[in-house]
Amino acid sequence: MKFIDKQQSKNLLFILPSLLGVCIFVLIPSVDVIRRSFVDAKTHHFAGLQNFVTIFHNHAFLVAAGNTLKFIAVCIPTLMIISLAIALLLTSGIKGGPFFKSAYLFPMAIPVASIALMWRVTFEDHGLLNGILSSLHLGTHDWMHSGFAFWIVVGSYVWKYIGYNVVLWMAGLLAIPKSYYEAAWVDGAGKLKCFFYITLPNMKSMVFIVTILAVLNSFKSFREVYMVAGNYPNQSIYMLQHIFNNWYRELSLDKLSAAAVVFAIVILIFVMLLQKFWASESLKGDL
Amino acid sequence: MDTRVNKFGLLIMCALIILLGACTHEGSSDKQDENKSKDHAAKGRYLETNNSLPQNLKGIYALQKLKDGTIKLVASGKDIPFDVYSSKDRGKSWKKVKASGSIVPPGNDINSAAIDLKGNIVLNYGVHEKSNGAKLSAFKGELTYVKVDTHGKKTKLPISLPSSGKSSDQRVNELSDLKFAANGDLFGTDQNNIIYQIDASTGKIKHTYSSGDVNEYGLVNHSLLIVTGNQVQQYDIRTGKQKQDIDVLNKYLAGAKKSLMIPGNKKDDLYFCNEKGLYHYVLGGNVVEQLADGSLSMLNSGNFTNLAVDSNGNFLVTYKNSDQQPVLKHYTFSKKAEATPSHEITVYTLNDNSTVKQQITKFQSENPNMHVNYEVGVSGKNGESTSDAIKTLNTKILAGKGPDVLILNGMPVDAYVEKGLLADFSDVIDKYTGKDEAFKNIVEAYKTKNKIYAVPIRFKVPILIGSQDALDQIHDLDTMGDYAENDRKAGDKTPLLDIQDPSMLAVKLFPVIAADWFNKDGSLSKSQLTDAFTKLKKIYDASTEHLSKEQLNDYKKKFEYAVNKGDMTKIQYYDGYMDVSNSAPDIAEGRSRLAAGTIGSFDAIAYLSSVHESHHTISYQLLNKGKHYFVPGITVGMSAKSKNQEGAKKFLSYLFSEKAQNIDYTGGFPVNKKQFEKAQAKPSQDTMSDLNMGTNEKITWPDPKQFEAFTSKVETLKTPTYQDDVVSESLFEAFEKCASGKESPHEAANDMMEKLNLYLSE
Repeated sequence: MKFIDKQQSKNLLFILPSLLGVCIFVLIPSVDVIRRSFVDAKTHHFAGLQNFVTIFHNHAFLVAAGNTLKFIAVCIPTLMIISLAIALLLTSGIKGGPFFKSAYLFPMAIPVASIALMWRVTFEDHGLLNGILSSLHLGTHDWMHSGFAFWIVVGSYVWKYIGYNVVLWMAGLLAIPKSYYEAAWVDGAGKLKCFFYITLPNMKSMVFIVTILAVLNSFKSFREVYMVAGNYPNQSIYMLQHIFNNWYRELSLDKLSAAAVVFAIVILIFVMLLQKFWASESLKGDL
Repeated sequence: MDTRVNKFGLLIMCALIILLGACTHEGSSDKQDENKSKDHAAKGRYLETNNSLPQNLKGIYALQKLKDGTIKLVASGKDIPFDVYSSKDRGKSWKKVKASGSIVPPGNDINSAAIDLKGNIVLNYGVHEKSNGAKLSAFKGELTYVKVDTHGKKTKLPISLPSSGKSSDQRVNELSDLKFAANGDLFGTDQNNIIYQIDASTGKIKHTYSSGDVNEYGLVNHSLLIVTGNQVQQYDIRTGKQKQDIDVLNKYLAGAKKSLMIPGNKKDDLYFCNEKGLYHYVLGGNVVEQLADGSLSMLNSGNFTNLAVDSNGNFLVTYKNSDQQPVLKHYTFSKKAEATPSHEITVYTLNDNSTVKQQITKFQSENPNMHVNYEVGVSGKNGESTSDAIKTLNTKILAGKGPDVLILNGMPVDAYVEKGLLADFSDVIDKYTGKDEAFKNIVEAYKTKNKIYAVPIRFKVPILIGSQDALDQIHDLDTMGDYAENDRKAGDKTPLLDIQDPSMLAVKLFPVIAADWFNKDGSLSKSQLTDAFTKLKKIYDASTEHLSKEQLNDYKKKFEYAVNKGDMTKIQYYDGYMDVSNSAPDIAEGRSRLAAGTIGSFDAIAYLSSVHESHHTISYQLLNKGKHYFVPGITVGMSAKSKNQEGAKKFLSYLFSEKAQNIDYTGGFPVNKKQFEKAQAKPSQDTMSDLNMGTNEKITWPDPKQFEAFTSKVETLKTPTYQDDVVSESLFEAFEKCASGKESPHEAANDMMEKLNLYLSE
């Protein structure tokens, strides 16, 4: 009895180099992180679940986790709704569609350091925004050291990734056969009904993909925040990446590993739930 | 057939990929090389040895090998402005050249000198400007140019340069950095960085060379090489015209902190040195050969002043040591010596440290079989922050490639000790404390459970200077705040402290007051913090009420600009204001009533004792005296993962020795008691003149009793001051708002606690 057939063995050979790379750079280090999450960093002895208990009693971790979840909960729906709306507009055949598509992609091309510099110029104490407000006698504000910092990060994230999501949505929208809409128009369906009964159901798999990518991209917003505000920004934008960064600097690898494992489990559950509710039948088959 | 071809093709592709992956595995080839090198170590390198110089030399102005192989030098000695010596044995011994004493009149000093291949000397000299009896670096009026031939006959050279061209600059334009070309012409640079080519017999200007900035220039055969900030330019000295730039030298010379260039024994040979080493280049070539590695010699210090090559192709380099005395080193090629020493250790520091570099250089010269790699975490070249550098270091340590010795300033020492990354080296310290050769109270300040993981090799003392009446009332921050309030009520207009910015006050007092703000569990105490802000505000108001809002704003902008421009943290910038060594005369002259900060040298004791002699009411005491704080200077530790613990311990032991502790730039007092006593010896007249500069007080060197009184205070110190950059930065931010009245002390304390909440709870 053969374990794998000829075709599968050929397939395995093709993916072998990539698989080796993933094993060496991703799987093995991940296993090591899981191992470290059960080991005490000082004594190097098995600590059971102590590290997990420690992080859930750690105020900084709880704040960071809360902020990260809040950021995802606010950013993802905002980004998806706005980018879908723009994609619908662009696919409806407005003038200058290709130009706008490129324009929305432009923020992604701007380097992180330039964005950080833009933030500083705009939101610092003596920055552009305070300068404008001061000239209008509206009083200045310490934007980056107050609750406004969270909304600045949200705005920056949405601004940066909107074009990327627009392109993804447009790919999904253009894949829906026009005949469906034509049939619906013949039956007297309006634009709203077409959207809810044709567009959205056909975009389920795209929603899954866009959501996953948006969540992954949301972690990259740490870079701008770190460059502008350093290791300890305003509490409202203190995210998990900050605490990981600071724990690594202090070599608290036990807490760092335990937090990473918890975070990975949360993401896994989230992806599995998304997959269950949003991935289309065809996508399920492929996966 | 097709299937077989496909399978075969697949197999070949996989095999290629695996092979390529194996080829990039650097670790194994490094190990192979290491094993090879142990068995067949490359031999041959230039060894550095000390050569003696004539006694009592103050400075060396020129060093040159003559056509007949004699080495000649021009120097100044104690009370003798001009002296010439020659050596027929390649710098091992020196003989004074006759009839050189009357060339430069007494009271004059040499500015620059050059020796040609025949032994003729050209120099310029003048009288230094003075202020309050102390010599300044600028010369008064015009300099005199003279030529001294090999018989000692002096001729004046009528060299006259165009004016300096700066309307506000009244100084006469003069030549410096004199050199001779092979054709006998004299070269020199003026104040505008223009190089002049002058006929050495008539003093007439033949050509001028203008290239913007001139870091260094050299003369090889018919070529003049000019090193600017980003290139090495070449000119033909026969025509004065520019030739093609020498791009291959850019990497070594352009942008180097300091370099020296000389022609070699052969026509187109160029020898040059910088901090990285000694090099050889042949004009017109594409290859630069490194002859000596700077990291294995004193070249690393960058304090070289003259370079010469002897008739055997070996080198002589003069340096200025840490006491500003000239030193001569001879570099001789040894075929038997290993190309790189077999024992190697790595010393890591977050920020470049001149004292440590000098100590490494000295250690290597005394231990030629050991090589010390000096690594700097924040080099400033790649825009990395301290945090980034620490993370990179942690990665290296975890990978087993970390340093052996760590300079712990700015590093998370507690975390490293907790995680077992630092090794105990109490056996090294016991050697010194056992023989009472080190201040036990300082070196064992970090001792925990009979183990020592971190030790300061230098320290500063936080003091408060003021009238005896004030010192009797002030013991800590509370009493200083009360004194400030009473002072204001009494209507005294003299500023309490000489400060112009809230952060300046915070920096001065933070190290000695911060520890009181923390509860036993490590959290901040709100009441203590609020109290501290209240007192600090009172002190700040009493020190700045004589300044208007506009003046305070101007100071604020000036300091912010300086901090941003220097790309440093506030505590790094304001560190310069911590030193109160020369503040005692300011108090005597009524510029402020108190001075708070640190002292790190015996010059401070000179100021304090001299002012006390003339104004008996002015004295000093330890700042926050009940706690017996000291400020750790350079703190060292040893990595527990070091592969060469023996070598690391040897180096650490050397750092505490009298020889090593003799070197210092700004780190503070030495912990070695012998060196501590030696440093109390009366300095030179020049140093005393410098101490008297800028003050109306007469500063004299203290007598032994005054030093004894200070030493007994030092022996009571036992607690290192609180050091945490995150806490201090948040203090500066919060106190600025409190000091300007934007927030009350209570609000500022809340602000600071909110900011530190996350940091402390991590």
